[in-house]
Amino acid sequence: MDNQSLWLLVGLAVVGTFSWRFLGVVIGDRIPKDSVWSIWINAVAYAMVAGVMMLLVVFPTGLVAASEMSWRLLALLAAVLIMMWSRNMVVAIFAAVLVFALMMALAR
Amino acid sequence: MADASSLNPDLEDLAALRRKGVVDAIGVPIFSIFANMVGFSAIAREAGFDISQAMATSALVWGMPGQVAMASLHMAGASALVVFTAVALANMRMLLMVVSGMDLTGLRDAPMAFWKKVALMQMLAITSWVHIGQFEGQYSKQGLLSYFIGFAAMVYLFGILGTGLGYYVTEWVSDDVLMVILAITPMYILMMVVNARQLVNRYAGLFGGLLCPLTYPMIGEWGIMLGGIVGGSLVVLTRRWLDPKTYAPVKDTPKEAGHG
Repeated sequence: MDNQSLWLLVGLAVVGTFSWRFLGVVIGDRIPKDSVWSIWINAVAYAMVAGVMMLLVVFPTGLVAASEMSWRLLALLAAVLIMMWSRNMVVAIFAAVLVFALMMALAR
Repeated sequence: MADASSLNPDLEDLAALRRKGVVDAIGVPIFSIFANMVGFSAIAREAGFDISQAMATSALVWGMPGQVAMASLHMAGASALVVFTAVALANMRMLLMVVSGMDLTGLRDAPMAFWKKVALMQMLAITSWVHIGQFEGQYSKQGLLSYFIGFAAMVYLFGILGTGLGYYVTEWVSDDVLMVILAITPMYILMMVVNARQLVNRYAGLFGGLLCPLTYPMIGEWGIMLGGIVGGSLVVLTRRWLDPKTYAPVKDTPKEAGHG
């Protein structure tokens, strides 16, 4: 594919994302404060973000696709449990890295 | 819920909060965004994009799942229309994140030109949005806006830097190290969802996080939308039961209307 077509793809990706942002500012400027709609929008946004992230954990692409699902799920479980118990992000992420790296090393 | 507006912005040092945002970004947040953009750059390079196209994508799209969809679908030989649809679906959450971000930071009522609001929201990414969600009610909305500007600017800067450097750096970092970083990043975002201030948002994350991967094998990227809308709506409908402290049924009196 030539360089121009690649720029066209970049342009399409920009439009496909920026339109949502722009629409977000337009709606965000008008939506009634503390209404059930603003609670709903927050909840849907959290559900979508968690959904997209879980897709990356369960169906990864690229390099991560070479890892086992069990490593990723166990690492996530360790992070969630530690996060709920200690509310400490650094410790939770460290636990996830440790579990994942350990499983990786054991598999070799 | 009314905590945020009851805090007095006059007592807060907004410049200090902006600096705090910058400082808080240094560490896991910028490391994670940097590494992820290195990962994106590797995919983009493999797909045939040059460094300026990769950096322009990061700066102007600024939504990792959409960026990865663009590069990997192009690599798989998908048509421009398929790429566009996939990117738009993968980044649809921007709409909701922006509406939510504008509410969290009080940008909605800020005396600011429309284009400035758009420019500020261009910096919004999952990392910065979920991050400020943890501080809801801890600062005034104006304070949170200052904090957001410092934090998001750093994340944005390091994301673009990561894309530029990543174009060349991937050969120096071992695949194993990169794999660990890329595998852990979504978990880092998920931990911030677990840590969200509002209990209903944690439940929304739980429902969406279960529904999306369950429906994905059947309906593909549409699973994101379905999981988000069904998960979020379920939580809103059952909020009085899930979080009776915040959403007590008797609290419908209009006395909190006179805020500020």
